[in-house]
Amino acid sequence: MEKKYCHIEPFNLRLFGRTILEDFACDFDKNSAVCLLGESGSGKSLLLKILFKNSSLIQSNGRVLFYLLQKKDASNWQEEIASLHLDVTWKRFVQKIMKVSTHLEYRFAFVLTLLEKPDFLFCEDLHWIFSAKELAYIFSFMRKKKIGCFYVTNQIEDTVYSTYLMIVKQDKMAIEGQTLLVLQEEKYLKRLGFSLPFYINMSIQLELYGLIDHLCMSKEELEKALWKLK
Amino acid sequence: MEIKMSQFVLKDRFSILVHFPVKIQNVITNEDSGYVLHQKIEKKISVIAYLERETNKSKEKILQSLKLVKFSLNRQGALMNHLTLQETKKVQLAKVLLWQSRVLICEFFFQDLLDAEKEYFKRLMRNLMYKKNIQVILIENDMNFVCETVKGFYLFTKNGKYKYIEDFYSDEIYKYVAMPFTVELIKYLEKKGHKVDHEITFSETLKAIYRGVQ
Repeated sequence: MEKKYCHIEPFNLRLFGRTILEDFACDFDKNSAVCLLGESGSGKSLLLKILFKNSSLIQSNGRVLFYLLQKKDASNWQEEIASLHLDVTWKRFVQKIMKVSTHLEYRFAFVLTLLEKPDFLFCEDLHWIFSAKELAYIFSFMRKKKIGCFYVTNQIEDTVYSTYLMIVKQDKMAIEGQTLLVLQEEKYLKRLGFSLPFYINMSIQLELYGLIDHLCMSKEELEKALWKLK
Repeated sequence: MEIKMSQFVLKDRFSILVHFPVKIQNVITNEDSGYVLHQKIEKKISVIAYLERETNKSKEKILQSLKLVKFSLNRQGALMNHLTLQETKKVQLAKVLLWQSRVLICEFFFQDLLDAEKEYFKRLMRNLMYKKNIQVILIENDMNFVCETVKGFYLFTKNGKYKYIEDFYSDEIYKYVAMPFTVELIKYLEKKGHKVDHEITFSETLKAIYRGVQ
């Protein structure tokens, strides 16, 4: 079977005569979650909107969908979902996402986008709708379902769900690479104004104390590393 | 729902209101109260013109104030409605500083700031408290920020009721807002049978874990 890919053509992003992002390009496949991190006003969301409106900038042999914080009336979400005759895994996913009543309309729109079964999903600022725990679940679910993701955020904590991380600073790509490798560039990230995600930071500090010997991305991993449980 | 902000003023301390039940609207910054709201300002005038009109201060003072709030000065000619939300909030803070309001009320000001900026603005606001005698009230829901900033905060529960909370390990808090990483980690370690002291800041939690493992 042909491997699904997604390629964003190199382009410059300008607004009101100001260069927002220079020579941006990206390649990823269905097994990847790419995260674009940047401070507020760095043009990340604008980039996503431009990609949405100019489909010629994205070359892909898969189905590409966008979730740009749209809303959908969720007053009859149960009936609407029931009419879709989903399999057990999707049903469980929908129930888990929709059981929380905050931002229900955003949640429903997001769920419906995923139910269209994209090969690649472009989305932004999901931390605004979902808790950290829910986000971990969503990204792990997308990985299981082989949905490649291009995720735009200003939250360093969200980067831990990605496999590839790009960080923009003042219209330039400041650093990019495999997420875990980028997140180990502690000093450089600090210079960019970011601290490390909590569990990465905690494990680096505990490593210095000689209590653990590898980076941990979650409390479960940290507990196992600290008390050497298998 | 009407909530009097003056009741939350704490002397020489940040007052943080968590799970605040209303969005602040239709308020005017003046010498008594200065508001930095979580909303864009849809005005088609430049940043400088906006601040000149709102404060009647000289351009020199305005630029000083903008510099103090880390507003990029090459954006001073940008129209207010073209600013990002974060830039708009910085302009609002510059306005409050120019007004020299006695109470500063910030709605989700720290929400989308970079960590380095968060530290800068905490220092700036502390300076305002100690040197200019300005009382600071912050409305925030990010408990990671709250843990690193204060020892107690006002939690709004149902129907506009609120209480002052010092025990960050109280389960009641987390019915309303997400648990901070430090509390989440220590609670998890306890659940797994490990004894670790209850701490709330990153550095203290690190030490508590060190002691717990030893």
